Amino acid sequence: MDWQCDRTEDLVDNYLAGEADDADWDFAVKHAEECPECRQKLDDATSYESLMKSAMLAMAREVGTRPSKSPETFLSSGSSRRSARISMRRRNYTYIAIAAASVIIILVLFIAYGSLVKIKKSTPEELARLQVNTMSKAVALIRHPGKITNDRQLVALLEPKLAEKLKQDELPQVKEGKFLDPWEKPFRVMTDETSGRVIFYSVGPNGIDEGCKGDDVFPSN
Amino acid sequence: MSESDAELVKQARKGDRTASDRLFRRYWKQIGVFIYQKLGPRGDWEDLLQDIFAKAYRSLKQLRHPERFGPWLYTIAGSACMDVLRAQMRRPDGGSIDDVSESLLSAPADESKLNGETLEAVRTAIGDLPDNYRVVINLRFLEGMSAKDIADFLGEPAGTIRNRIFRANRMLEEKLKEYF
Repeated sequence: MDWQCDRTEDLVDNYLAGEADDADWDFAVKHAEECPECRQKLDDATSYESLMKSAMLAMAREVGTRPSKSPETFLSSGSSRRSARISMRRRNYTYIAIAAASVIIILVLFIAYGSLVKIKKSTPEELARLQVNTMSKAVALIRHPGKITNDRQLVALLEPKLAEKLKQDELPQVKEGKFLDPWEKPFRVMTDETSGRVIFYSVGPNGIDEGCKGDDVFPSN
Repeated sequence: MSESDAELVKQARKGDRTASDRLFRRYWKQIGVFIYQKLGPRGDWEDLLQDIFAKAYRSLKQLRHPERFGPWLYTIAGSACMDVLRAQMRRPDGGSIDDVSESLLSAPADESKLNGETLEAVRTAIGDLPDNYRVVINLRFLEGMSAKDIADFLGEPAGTIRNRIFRANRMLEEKLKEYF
Protein backbone atom coordinates (compact mmCIF):
# COMPACT_ATOMS: atom_id res chain seq x y z
CA MET A 1 0.00 0.00 0.00
CA ASP A 2 1.51 3.34 -1.00
CA TRP A 3 0.72 6.88 0.05
CA GLN A 4 -2.01 7.08 -2.63
CA CYS A 5 -3.83 4.16 -1.04
CA ASP A 6 -3.43 5.78 2.42
CA ARG A 7 -4.89 9.01 1.12
CA THR A 8 -7.80 7.12 -0.48
CA GLU A 9 -8.51 5.31 2.78
CA ASP A 10 -8.60 8.62 4.65
CA LEU A 11 -10.96 9.93 2.02
CA VAL A 12 -13.33 7.02 2.58
CA ASP A 13 -13.48 7.78 6.31
CA ASN A 14 -14.00 11.48 5.66
CA TYR A 15 -16.64 10.68 3.04
CA LEU A 16 -18.63 8.58 5.51
CA ALA A 17 -18.27 11.35 8.08
CA GLY A 18 -19.74 13.81 5.55
CA GLU A 19 -16.51 15.74 5.21
CA ALA A 20 -15.02 14.60 1.92
CA ASP A 21 -13.03 17.22 0.11
CA ASP A 22 -13.71 17.56 -3.66
CA ALA A 23 -10.01 17.57 -4.48
CA ASP A 24 -9.42 14.44 -2.41
CA TRP A 25 -12.40 12.77 -4.06
CA ASP A 26 -11.12 13.50 -7.55
CA PHE A 27 -7.75 12.18 -6.56
CA ALA A 28 -9.20 8.96 -5.13
CA VAL A 29 -11.36 8.29 -8.18
CA LYS A 30 -8.35 8.72 -10.42
CA HIS A 31 -6.23 6.47 -8.24
CA ALA A 32 -8.99 3.82 -8.10
CA GLU A 33 -8.82 3.43 -11.87
CA GLU A 34 -5.40 1.92 -11.40
CA CYS A 35 -5.85 0.27 -7.97
CA PRO A 36 -8.51 -2.50 -7.76
CA GLU A 37 -8.32 -2.60 -3.94
CA CYS A 38 -9.04 1.09 -3.57
CA ARG A 39 -11.74 0.87 -6.23
CA GLN A 40 -13.38 -1.82 -4.10
CA LYS A 41 -13.11 0.39 -1.01
CA LEU A 42 -14.73 3.31 -2.81
CA ASP A 43 -17.48 1.06 -4.15
CA ASP A 44 -18.09 -0.41 -0.69
CA ALA A 45 -18.22 3.04 0.90
CA THR A 46 -20.75 4.38 -1.61
CA SER A 47 -22.84 1.17 -1.40
CA TYR A 48 -22.77 1.32 2.38
CA GLU A 49 -23.77 4.98 2.38
CA SER A 50 -26.57 4.24 -0.08
CA LEU A 51 -27.83 1.36 2.08
CA MET A 52 -27.79 3.50 5.21
CA LYS A 53 -29.60 6.42 3.56
CA SER A 54 -32.22 4.14 1.99
CA ALA A 55 -32.79 2.37 5.30
CA MET A 56 -33.07 5.69 7.15
CA LEU A 57 -35.59 6.93 4.59
CA ALA A 58 -37.64 3.74 4.93
CA MET A 59 -37.63 4.05 8.71
CA ALA A 60 -38.56 7.73 8.49
CA ARG A 61 -41.45 6.81 6.18
CA GLU A 62 -42.62 4.28 8.74
CA VAL A 63 -42.45 6.86 11.52
CA GLY A 64 -43.89 9.70 9.46
CA THR A 65 -42.53 13.20 9.33
CA ARG A 66 -45.07 14.62 11.75
CA PRO A 67 -47.38 13.42 14.51
CA SER A 68 -50.66 11.87 13.40
CA LYS A 69 -52.38 14.29 15.76
CA SER A 70 -51.56 17.77 16.94
CA PRO A 71 -48.82 17.86 19.60
CA GLU A 72 -51.19 20.02 21.62
CA THR A 73 -53.38 16.99 22.26
CA PHE A 74 -50.68 14.99 24.00
CA LEU A 75 -48.00 17.47 25.15
CA SER A 76 -49.56 18.70 28.35
CA SER A 77 -51.49 15.59 29.29
CA GLY A 78 -49.22 12.88 27.96
CA SER A 79 -52.44 11.08 27.13
CA SER A 80 -51.19 8.70 24.49
CA ARG A 81 -52.89 5.34 24.15
CA ARG A 82 -49.91 3.87 26.01
CA SER A 83 -50.25 6.35 28.88
CA ALA A 84 -53.98 5.86 28.83
CA ARG A 85 -53.50 2.10 29.01
CA ILE A 86 -51.10 2.47 31.93
CA SER A 87 -53.47 4.91 33.66
CA MET A 88 -56.41 2.61 33.03
CA ARG A 89 -54.43 -0.34 34.37
CA ARG A 90 -53.53 1.68 37.47
CA ARG A 91 -57.15 2.78 37.85
CA ASN A 92 -58.30 -0.81 37.51
CA TYR A 93 -55.84 -1.91 40.17
CA THR A 94 -57.13 0.87 42.42
CA TYR A 95 -60.74 -0.19 41.89
CA ILE A 96 -59.88 -3.82 42.58
CA ALA A 97 -57.99 -2.81 45.73
CA ILE A 98 -60.92 -0.66 46.91
CA ALA A 99 -63.39 -3.45 46.19
CA ALA A 100 -61.21 -6.01 47.99
CA ALA A 101 -60.77 -3.69 50.97
CA SER A 102 -64.52 -3.06 51.09
CA VAL A 103 -65.26 -6.78 51.05
CA ILE A 104 -62.74 -7.36 53.83
CA ILE A 105 -64.16 -4.50 55.93
CA ILE A 106 -67.71 -5.78 55.45
CA LEU A 107 -66.62 -9.29 56.39
CA VAL A 108 -64.79 -8.04 59.48
CA LEU A 109 -67.81 -5.95 60.55
CA PHE A 110 -70.14 -8.88 59.88
CA ILE A 111 -67.98 -11.24 61.91
CA ALA A 112 -67.59 -8.67 64.69
CA TYR A 113 -71.35 -8.06 64.79
CA GLY A 114 -71.99 -11.79 64.77
CA SER A 115 -69.55 -12.21 67.64
CA LEU A 116 -71.21 -9.44 69.62
CA VAL A 117 -74.63 -10.94 69.08
CA LYS A 118 -73.26 -14.30 69.99
CA ILE A 119 -71.72 -12.95 73.18
CA LYS A 120 -74.99 -11.24 74.01
CA LYS A 121 -76.91 -14.42 73.43
CA SER A 122 -74.39 -16.49 75.26
CA THR A 123 -74.65 -14.50 78.47
CA PRO A 124 -77.55 -16.04 80.39
CA GLU A 125 -77.32 -13.43 83.16
CA GLU A 126 -77.91 -10.61 80.67
CA LEU A 127 -80.74 -12.47 79.03
CA ALA A 128 -82.29 -13.27 82.40
CA ARG A 129 -81.99 -9.59 83.42
CA LEU A 130 -83.72 -8.49 80.23
CA GLN A 131 -86.47 -11.05 80.73
CA VAL A 132 -87.21 -10.21 84.37
CA ASN A 133 -87.23 -6.49 83.61
CA THR A 134 -89.65 -6.93 80.75
CA MET A 135 -91.85 -9.41 82.55
CA SER A 136 -92.03 -7.23 85.67
CA LYS A 137 -93.02 -4.19 83.63
CA ALA A 138 -95.55 -6.22 81.64
CA VAL A 139 -97.20 -7.66 84.69
CA ALA A 140 -97.71 -4.15 86.07
CA LEU A 141 -99.87 -3.41 83.05
CA ILE A 142 -102.35 -6.14 83.87
CA ARG A 143 -105.43 -4.34 85.17
CA HIS A 144 -106.88 -7.03 87.34
CA PRO A 145 -104.05 -9.23 88.59
CA GLY A 146 -106.42 -10.71 91.18
CA LYS A 147 -108.12 -12.70 88.42
CA ILE A 148 -104.95 -14.63 87.76
CA THR A 149 -105.24 -17.87 89.65
CA ASN A 150 -102.53 -19.99 88.06
CA ASP A 151 -99.30 -19.83 86.05
CA ARG A 152 -100.99 -20.74 82.80
CA GLN A 153 -103.24 -17.69 83.00
CA LEU A 154 -100.23 -15.54 83.77
CA VAL A 155 -98.36 -16.89 80.79
CA ALA A 156 -101.35 -16.43 78.52
CA LEU A 157 -101.70 -12.80 79.59
CA LEU A 158 -98.02 -11.92 79.48
CA GLU A 159 -96.90 -13.71 76.32
CA PRO A 160 -98.48 -11.24 73.86
CA LYS A 161 -96.99 -8.30 75.74
CA LEU A 162 -93.56 -9.88 75.88
CA ALA A 163 -93.71 -10.65 72.17
CA GLU A 164 -94.11 -6.91 71.53
CA LYS A 165 -91.07 -5.99 73.61
CA LEU A 166 -88.64 -8.85 73.03
CA LYS A 167 -87.12 -10.49 70.00
CA GLN A 168 -87.92 -14.07 69.22
CA ASP A 169 -84.69 -15.39 70.71
CA GLU A 170 -85.08 -13.22 73.82
CA LEU A 171 -88.47 -14.57 74.77
CA PRO A 172 -88.44 -16.84 77.82
CA GLN A 173 -89.21 -20.45 77.20
CA VAL A 174 -92.55 -21.76 78.35
CA LYS A 175 -92.78 -25.25 79.74
CA GLU A 176 -95.72 -26.83 81.48
CA GLY A 177 -97.43 -23.47 81.71
CA LYS A 178 -94.46 -21.70 83.30
CA PHE A 179 -91.90 -19.19 82.10
CA LEU A 180 -88.39 -20.67 82.32
CA ASP A 181 -85.21 -18.67 82.83
CA PRO A 182 -82.06 -19.28 80.69
CA TRP A 183 -81.06 -22.08 83.08
CA GLU A 184 -84.47 -23.65 82.50
CA LYS A 185 -85.71 -22.98 86.01
CA PRO A 186 -89.12 -21.36 86.49
CA PHE A 187 -89.10 -17.64 87.16
CA ARG A 188 -90.24 -16.75 90.66
CA VAL A 189 -92.76 -14.04 91.51
CA MET A 190 -92.74 -11.80 94.62
CA THR A 191 -94.05 -8.45 95.75
CA ASP A 192 -91.46 -5.75 96.32
CA GLU A 193 -91.98 -4.51 99.87
CA THR A 194 -90.96 -0.92 99.23
CA SER A 195 -92.79 -0.27 95.96
CA GLY A 196 -95.53 -2.84 96.28
CA ARG A 197 -94.88 -3.97 92.68
CA VAL A 198 -95.11 -7.53 91.55
CA ILE A 199 -91.74 -8.56 90.19
CA PHE A 200 -90.31 -11.60 88.46
CA TYR A 201 -86.84 -12.89 89.35
CA SER A 202 -84.65 -15.78 88.37
CA VAL A 203 -82.95 -18.10 90.83
CA GLY A 204 -79.76 -17.64 88.88
CA PRO A 205 -77.10 -20.10 87.77
CA ASN A 206 -76.95 -21.96 91.07
CA GLY A 207 -80.71 -22.80 90.84
CA ILE A 208 -81.25 -21.86 94.51
CA ASP A 209 -83.93 -19.35 95.43
CA GLU A 210 -82.10 -16.82 97.60
CA GLY A 211 -84.90 -14.27 97.65
CA CYS A 212 -83.34 -11.81 95.22
CA LYS A 213 -79.95 -12.20 96.83
CA GLY A 214 -76.76 -14.05 95.90
CA ASP A 215 -76.75 -14.90 92.21
CA ASP A 216 -80.50 -14.40 91.80
CA VAL A 217 -81.30 -12.16 88.85
CA PHE A 218 -83.92 -9.55 89.62
CA PRO A 219 -85.20 -6.40 87.84
CA SER A 220 -82.68 -3.58 87.70
CA ASN A 221 -85.29 -0.97 88.63
CA MET B 1 -35.06 31.94 8.59
CA SER B 2 -36.27 29.36 11.09
CA GLU B 3 -35.89 30.06 14.77
CA SER B 4 -33.25 28.20 16.75
CA ASP B 5 -34.12 25.51 19.25
CA ALA B 6 -33.07 27.82 22.08
CA GLU B 7 -35.48 30.56 20.96
CA LEU B 8 -38.35 28.11 20.62
CA VAL B 9 -37.59 26.61 24.04
CA LYS B 10 -37.67 30.06 25.64
CA GLN B 11 -41.02 30.86 24.01
CA ALA B 12 -42.44 27.45 24.92
CA ARG B 13 -41.43 27.98 28.53
CA LYS B 14 -43.53 31.14 28.56
CA GLY B 15 -46.52 29.08 27.49
CA ASP B 16 -46.36 29.66 23.74
CA ARG B 17 -48.01 26.51 22.39
CA THR B 18 -47.09 27.34 18.80
CA ALA B 19 -43.43 27.34 19.77
CA SER B 20 -43.66 24.00 21.54
CA ASP B 21 -45.59 22.52 18.61
CA ARG B 22 -42.90 23.67 16.17
CA LEU B 23 -40.17 22.39 18.42
CA PHE B 24 -41.63 18.94 18.69
CA ARG B 25 -42.62 18.70 15.03
CA ARG B 26 -39.00 19.53 14.23
CA TYR B 27 -37.78 16.52 16.16
CA TRP B 28 -40.63 14.09 15.48
CA LYS B 29 -38.87 12.26 12.66
CA GLN B 30 -35.43 12.17 14.29
CA ILE B 31 -36.59 10.90 17.66
CA GLY B 32 -39.18 8.68 16.02
CA VAL B 33 -36.52 6.90 13.95
CA PHE B 34 -34.27 6.76 17.00
CA ILE B 35 -36.79 4.81 19.06
CA TYR B 36 -38.09 2.88 16.07
CA GLN B 37 -34.60 1.47 15.55
CA LYS B 38 -34.53 0.26 19.11
CA LEU B 39 -38.07 -1.09 19.42
CA GLY B 40 -38.73 -2.16 15.85
CA PRO B 41 -42.04 -2.14 14.01
CA ARG B 42 -43.68 -4.35 16.60
CA GLY B 43 -43.34 -1.79 19.36
CA ASP B 44 -45.88 0.86 20.22
CA TRP B 45 -43.25 3.41 19.32
CA GLU B 46 -45.72 6.11 18.30
CA ASP B 47 -47.33 6.10 21.73
CA LEU B 48 -43.89 6.07 23.29
CA LEU B 49 -42.89 8.99 21.10
CA GLN B 50 -45.85 10.99 22.33
CA ASP B 51 -44.96 10.14 25.91
CA ILE B 52 -41.36 11.24 25.37
CA PHE B 53 -42.48 14.59 23.97
CA ALA B 54 -45.05 15.03 26.73
CA LYS B 55 -42.37 14.31 29.33
CA ALA B 56 -39.97 16.73 27.66
CA TYR B 57 -42.68 19.37 27.56
CA ARG B 58 -43.42 18.99 31.26
CA SER B 59 -39.69 19.11 32.09
CA LEU B 60 -38.85 22.00 29.78
CA LYS B 61 -38.24 24.38 32.68
CA GLN B 62 -35.57 22.05 34.04
CA LEU B 63 -33.51 22.30 30.86
CA ARG B 64 -30.50 24.41 31.85
CA HIS B 65 -29.16 25.06 28.36
CA PRO B 66 -32.00 25.66 25.89
CA GLU B 67 -29.56 25.47 23.00
CA ARG B 68 -28.99 21.81 23.89
CA PHE B 69 -32.63 20.85 23.57
CA GLY B 70 -31.89 18.25 20.84
CA PRO B 71 -29.30 16.23 22.77
CA TRP B 72 -31.47 16.48 25.87
CA LEU B 73 -34.41 15.05 23.95
CA TYR B 74 -32.23 12.17 22.72
CA THR B 75 -31.30 11.43 26.35
CA ILE B 76 -34.95 11.29 27.37
CA ALA B 77 -35.72 9.06 24.38
CA GLY B 78 -32.82 6.69 25.13
CA SER B 79 -33.95 6.34 28.71
CA ALA B 80 -37.58 5.76 27.67
CA CYS B 81 -36.47 3.03 25.23
CA MET B 82 -34.55 1.27 27.96
CA ASP B 83 -37.60 1.34 30.23
CA VAL B 84 -39.72 -0.24 27.50
CA LEU B 85 -37.12 -2.90 26.69
CA ARG B 86 -36.72 -3.76 30.36
CA ALA B 87 -40.49 -4.11 30.66
CA GLN B 88 -40.57 -6.32 27.53
CA MET B 89 -37.85 -8.55 28.95
CA ARG B 90 -39.91 -9.03 32.10
CA ARG B 91 -42.93 -9.99 30.02
CA PRO B 92 -42.85 -13.64 28.91
CA ASP B 93 -44.48 -12.81 25.56
CA GLY B 94 -42.25 -9.76 24.99
CA GLY B 95 -41.73 -9.43 21.28
CA SER B 96 -40.73 -11.82 18.55
CA ILE B 97 -39.56 -11.55 14.99
CA ASP B 98 -42.97 -12.84 13.93
CA ASP B 99 -44.40 -9.52 15.03
CA VAL B 100 -42.58 -7.60 12.31
CA SER B 101 -45.20 -5.65 10.45
CA GLU B 102 -46.38 -6.86 7.07
CA SER B 103 -45.76 -3.44 5.57
CA LEU B 104 -42.04 -3.73 6.22
CA LEU B 105 -41.65 -7.32 5.11
CA SER B 106 -43.38 -6.52 1.88
CA ALA B 107 -41.68 -3.18 1.30
CA PRO B 108 -41.27 -2.58 -2.43
CA ALA B 109 -37.74 -3.53 -3.40
CA ASP B 110 -37.63 -1.46 -6.56
CA GLU B 111 -38.27 1.89 -4.86
CA SER B 112 -35.75 1.79 -2.06
CA LYS B 113 -33.72 -1.21 -3.22
CA LEU B 114 -34.46 -2.60 0.19
CA ASN B 115 -36.48 -5.61 0.98
CA GLY B 116 -37.99 -6.28 4.38
CA GLU B 117 -35.17 -8.55 5.44
CA THR B 118 -32.45 -6.02 4.57
CA LEU B 119 -34.29 -3.19 6.28
CA GLU B 120 -34.81 -5.28 9.39
CA ALA B 121 -31.10 -6.23 9.36
CA VAL B 122 -30.08 -2.57 9.14
CA ARG B 123 -32.57 -1.55 11.81
CA THR B 124 -31.34 -4.28 14.15
CA ALA B 125 -27.68 -3.47 13.51
CA ILE B 126 -28.26 0.22 14.23
CA GLY B 127 -30.51 -0.58 17.16
CA ASP B 128 -27.75 -2.67 18.72
CA LEU B 129 -25.30 0.24 18.70
CA PRO B 130 -24.72 2.17 21.92
CA ASP B 131 -27.04 5.18 22.07
CA ASN B 132 -24.28 7.75 21.59
CA TYR B 133 -23.12 5.95 18.42
CA ARG B 134 -26.68 5.63 17.18
CA VAL B 135 -27.30 9.36 17.60
CA VAL B 136 -24.34 10.29 15.41
CA ILE B 137 -25.22 7.69 12.77
CA ASN B 138 -28.78 9.00 12.59
CA LEU B 139 -27.69 12.60 12.37
CA ARG B 140 -25.20 11.66 9.68
CA PHE B 141 -27.39 9.51 7.42
CA LEU B 142 -30.90 10.64 8.28
CA GLU B 143 -30.30 14.35 8.68
CA GLY B 144 -27.31 14.49 6.33
CA MET B 145 -25.21 16.36 8.87
CA SER B 146 -21.42 16.37 8.70
CA ALA B 147 -19.21 15.42 11.64
CA LYS B 148 -18.61 19.12 12.29
CA ASP B 149 -22.36 19.90 12.29
CA ILE B 150 -23.02 16.98 14.62
CA ALA B 151 -20.30 18.16 16.98
CA ASP B 152 -21.90 21.62 17.10
CA PHE B 153 -25.33 20.12 17.66
CA LEU B 154 -24.20 17.85 20.48
CA GLY B 155 -21.75 20.34 21.95
CA GLU B 156 -18.84 17.93 21.78
CA PRO B 157 -15.39 18.18 20.16
CA ALA B 158 -15.37 17.49 16.40
CA GLY B 159 -12.54 14.97 16.78
CA THR B 160 -14.60 12.95 19.26
CA ILE B 161 -17.55 12.90 16.90
CA ARG B 162 -15.40 11.92 13.88
CA ASN B 163 -13.95 9.07 15.89
CA ARG B 164 -17.42 7.97 16.99
CA ILE B 165 -18.74 8.01 13.41
CA PHE B 166 -15.70 6.07 12.24
CA ARG B 167 -16.18 3.37 14.89
CA ALA B 168 -19.94 3.15 14.35
CA ASN B 169 -19.42 2.78 10.59
CA ARG B 170 -16.89 0.01 11.12
CA MET B 171 -19.29 -1.87 13.40
CA LEU B 172 -22.16 -1.51 10.95
CA GLU B 173 -20.09 -2.45 7.90
CA GLU B 174 -18.98 -5.57 9.69
CA LYS B 175 -22.53 -6.61 10.49
CA LEU B 176 -24.06 -5.59 7.18
CA LYS B 177 -21.37 -6.53 4.65
CA GLU B 178 -23.61 -9.13 3.01
CA TYR B 179 -26.27 -6.51 2.32
CA PHE B 180 -24.26 -4.00 0.24
